[in-house]
Amino acid sequence: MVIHHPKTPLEAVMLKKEKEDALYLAGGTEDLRLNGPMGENTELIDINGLVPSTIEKGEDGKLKIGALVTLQELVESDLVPEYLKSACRFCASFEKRNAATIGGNVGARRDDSYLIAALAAAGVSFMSITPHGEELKKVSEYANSDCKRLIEYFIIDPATKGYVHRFGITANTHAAVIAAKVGDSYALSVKGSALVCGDTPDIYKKVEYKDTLEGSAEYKKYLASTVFTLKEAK
Amino acid sequence: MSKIKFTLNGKVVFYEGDPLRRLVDVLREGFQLTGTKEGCGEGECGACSVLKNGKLVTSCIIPVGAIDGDDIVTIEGLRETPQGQCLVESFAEGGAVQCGFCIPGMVMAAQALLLVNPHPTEEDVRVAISGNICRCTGYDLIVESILLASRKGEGLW
Repeated sequence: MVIHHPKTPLEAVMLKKEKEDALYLAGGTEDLRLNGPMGENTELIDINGLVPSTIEKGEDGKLKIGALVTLQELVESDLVPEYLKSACRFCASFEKRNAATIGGNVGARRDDSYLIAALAAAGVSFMSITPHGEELKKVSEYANSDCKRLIEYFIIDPATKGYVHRFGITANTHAAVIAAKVGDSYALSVKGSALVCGDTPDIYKKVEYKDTLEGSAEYKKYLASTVFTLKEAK
Repeated sequence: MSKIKFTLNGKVVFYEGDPLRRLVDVLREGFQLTGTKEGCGEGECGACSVLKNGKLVTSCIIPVGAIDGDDIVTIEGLRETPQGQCLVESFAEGGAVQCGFCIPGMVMAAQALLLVNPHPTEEDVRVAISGNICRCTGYDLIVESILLASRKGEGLW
């Protein structure tokens, strides 16, 4: 195996384009890759230091959260909204949060990512590097695509309020359904299905439910169809 | 093959080989630092915890290629310091150890906490070891031992 050390984000993206099976190396999502399909010829592209690892508040009041900010740094930040901290706490234990990054988590595009549901409900976009230069992309669009852009930083409104709920068969199993509401927007991440977003609780109707190890299609449909209405009835 | 340079317990070391090899394997098999234990192999139990640039991380899910240029401290490195000695004595005095398998990770978690918070509350301690699983003690004696270390080691952190 080989590690490439590109000097610029664009160089990293061009390498990724050239070597389709290459993987970005940074942060702490490597456990996913170690368990994933990797051959002896897998090449790695080290992006440490190429994308931001800080949380900054801009003049417009919006937060710029670097892709290499760890989940624990998000939990500890006074700037980050509570729903996002809650999603980070769901993601992993303390040690894992010290290594896992927001960019890595979103970049993995798992259908049981707590962060993707939360960020999608909040309508968050991120700045990315593509072979054609910098480009804004919505998390909700990215989650359901297979584009290979490099995430640079997320743009988040710190004033937004919301919640994230996870449902799984046990505390230790992967989630069957993740439901997030931020402001007046909803997002549902259902294991085995695409992420859906919308402005009404009936977004569950847009999901094509599938049986997976995390639960039957009917089980997940029941959860998705009741979570928002029950929460709001409280 | 990749050449990776990092600081291990205060000394600059080099690793040459597969960059996707897990850090825990490199520590145990490459550097014979067997104090770092492998429990679950999924980053959930905390037995393999080490400090990476002062932050507690699980070495079973970090490929060695991701630590190029970093500062790694294992239980062996910590043991040689006054802080490590204090933690070891406090764990012994507090009766925190039963089978002992989780203890290197617990001690590393305690060190990570005390480095940033030398006077933790019981809740602080419980949060700090929340990623470390112990199947023997029920945690109370470990928590008390870390609090004991913070009192005995006044000025060390």
